[in-house]
Amino acid sequence: MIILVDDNKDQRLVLRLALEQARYSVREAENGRDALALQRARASAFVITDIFMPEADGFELVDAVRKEFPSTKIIVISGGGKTARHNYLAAARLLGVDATFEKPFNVDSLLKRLEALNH
Amino acid sequence: MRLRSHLVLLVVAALVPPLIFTAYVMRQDLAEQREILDRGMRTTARALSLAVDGEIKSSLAILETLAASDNLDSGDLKGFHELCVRATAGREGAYIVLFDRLGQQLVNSSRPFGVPLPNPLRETKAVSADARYPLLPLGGAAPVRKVLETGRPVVSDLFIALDSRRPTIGINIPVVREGALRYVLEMSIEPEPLVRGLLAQRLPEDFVASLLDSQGLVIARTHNFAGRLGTPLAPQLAAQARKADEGTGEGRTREGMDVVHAFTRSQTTGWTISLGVSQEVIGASMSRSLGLLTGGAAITLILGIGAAIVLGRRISRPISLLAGSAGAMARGEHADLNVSAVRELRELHGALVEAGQAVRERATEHERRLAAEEADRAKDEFLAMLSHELRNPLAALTTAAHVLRAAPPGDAATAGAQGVIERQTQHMVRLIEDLLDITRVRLGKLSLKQETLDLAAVVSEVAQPWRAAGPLAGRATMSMQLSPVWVHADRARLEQIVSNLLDNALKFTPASGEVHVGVRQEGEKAVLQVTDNGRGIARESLSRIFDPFVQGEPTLDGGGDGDGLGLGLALVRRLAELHEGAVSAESDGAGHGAVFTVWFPAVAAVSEPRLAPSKLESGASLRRVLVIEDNHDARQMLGAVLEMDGHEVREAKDGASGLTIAAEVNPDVVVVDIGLPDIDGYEVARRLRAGAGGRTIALIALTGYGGGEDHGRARAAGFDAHLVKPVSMERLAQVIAELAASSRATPA
Repeated sequence: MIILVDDNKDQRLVLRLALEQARYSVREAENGRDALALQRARASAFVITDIFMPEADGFELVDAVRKEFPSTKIIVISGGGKTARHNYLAAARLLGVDATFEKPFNVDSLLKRLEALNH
Repeated sequence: MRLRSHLVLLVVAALVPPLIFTAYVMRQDLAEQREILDRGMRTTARALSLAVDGEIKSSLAILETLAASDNLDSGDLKGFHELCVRATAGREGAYIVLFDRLGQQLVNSSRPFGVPLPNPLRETKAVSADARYPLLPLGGAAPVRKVLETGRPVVSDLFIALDSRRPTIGINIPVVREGALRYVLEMSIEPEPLVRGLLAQRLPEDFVASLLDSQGLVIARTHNFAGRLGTPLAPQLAAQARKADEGTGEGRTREGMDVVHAFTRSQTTGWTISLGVSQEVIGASMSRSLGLLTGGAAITLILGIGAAIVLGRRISRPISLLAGSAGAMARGEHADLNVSAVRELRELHGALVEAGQAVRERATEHERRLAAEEADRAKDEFLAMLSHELRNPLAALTTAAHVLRAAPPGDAATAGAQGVIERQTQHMVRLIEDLLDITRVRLGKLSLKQETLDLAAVVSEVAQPWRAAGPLAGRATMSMQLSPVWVHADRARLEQIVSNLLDNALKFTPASGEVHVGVRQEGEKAVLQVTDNGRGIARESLSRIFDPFVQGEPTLDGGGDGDGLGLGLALVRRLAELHEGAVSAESDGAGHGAVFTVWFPAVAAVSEPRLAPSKLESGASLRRVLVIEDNHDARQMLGAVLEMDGHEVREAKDGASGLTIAAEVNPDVVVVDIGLPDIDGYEVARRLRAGAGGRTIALIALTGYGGGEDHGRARAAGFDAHLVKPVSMERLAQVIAELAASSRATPA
């Protein structure tokens, strides 16, 4: 039901645990390319993705999902870029994602937002 | 056009018009002078003519008087002869002749009375045979005849007198009695007196005056009279004199002299006065004026042009120098100039120097600003990176906290979350340690505890766990080729250098790859080389890879959990430099692997090179050691190593049990981890010190942090030594040995 994309394995692990505790089923991907492959294999209602990642980055994933799966809700979480001062979240909002969260984020807020988007 | 040419042009333009004007004025002046000369000459000629006329008129007056004589009435010719002789007594060369109506001379005062006398009218030869005067007629027949025909006085032209045979002129008048012409009376005059009359006019020496008869033959002349008597004037001059009664002209005399010519003809006598002045005399003054003008003009021009050239050079040379120096300034060189004599050029020089300085200052300022901006940008990027690096583990930690809160006790999720917390905390600790280290190095606060070490041994120790874990952790395999080489170094920092290099190499080398570590001596250098066949480094990144806060490749982010702040290599360089060594990196580009080389100054081997553990054995007596450490692996490892060293080892997993065991076994040394689950290490130390035998017990703290504050707290709590994790076993053994030695020296 949710595809969770983050290049940090630990981040994926704990967020998956939290989402599962909230009774969501979760599939993990460590980059945008794998995530898109998962989504194409079987579409999920939600994609939760980091922005700054190797391989196809978050923006490419967001773009592809929005085009191919208009009904899939997209939530972006980001800790900012490594080298530049670009505001990735603002950029993501401009792309029309459904919600953005800056790391470190409040998991309850994320869950509430998922709940709201689910209805 | 050059400045010099401009100035020359200026001089020429300024000088030539006045010169032309002067020449014009001078020409006018010369013409005027000429006019004055001509007028003067005409006046002189007229005066001369009048003088001659006066002479003739006085002769006429004498003749008139004689004509009225009674002797002629009475026919007393003898008496008349005496009268005539008396009348001409004072006049040289002059005599009186009386002709009858047939031309027969009746009386001749130059001859005695009564001698036979000639008759010019009957003289058959019209031309004199005198070779000296071929043009002169013999005898004055023409005037006598003319008087007989006209009955009027006649002044003759020059002729040869019949009796004297000398050139003569005759003044003839009729003698009338009772209305009829009875005689012709003539006064014959030889020319010499006339010449004297001319000379008496006191003409300037350069003036040549001639008296000509109506035939144009010379009667008298101021120069060369004898030679020219009876000859005509030069044809050119004669032609001029024939055309008018008075005038001026130019021509050449028979003597070949170029003259200015003035003439006037007497109405009384029909004779002409011709006056010549040598052209040379007139020309001399004129050409002197012309010469002065030309010479003056030439000298003025030459001086002017010379001055223009000199002045032009004086102005243009400094300008050329200034132009050169402006070029030099533009290239950033310093330009020094000779100061010019021209004030404007000095001012220009000053302005150029100021402008040059301003440009240099602005360039320096610009460079400074660029450097500042670059530093600013690097800091900003570092902060962005730091933010990213801290936000990621923090996000994982907060999520883990949420999971732990929401999970029911004993749920499998708890273990997962705890593992994440441990790993992410460790990751953050490592980040922070790197940060602290690089800050210390940058601030110069990092002090080295240098000793003589075998680089190969240190590398071997550091690499050991990596080698063992490599294949299991999915890492590249590692090979080593180590030759002993001794360096003077801080052991902990040397280990940091080695582990950072190995960490870096393994991070970017796939599991199928290989990392090779070499240590060898090259001359004065101890060289450590780490070679991998991993992802390599792009050529453009090579030069920056050791810069702090700059990560060689942003895309290397893919290291997953291993990514850091990019400070590892910067630390390696700083630490190597602190040891008076250096680092370098080589790579044939992305995908071709990389070679990192570090060198230190090699030192002489210590006299008895031994392995570290044996050093411990020699200096340390065997002790009872208690290890209080909550981490099972770490505790067991410490215990095992200490037992291998021959110590008697007891272990405790928390503070409470540690205190209990200490009370039981009364250990010589207690190694305490500060972060214990129940009571912290500081509290354990305080209680041990307070307990039985607490004053002599050796206490060693183990912490994850190396800051001065932790060190101070450890000392305050009663610890004798403070070691930062991960603890080198050799270092621990060394500390135990030292503490044991000092406690031996202090009686219990």
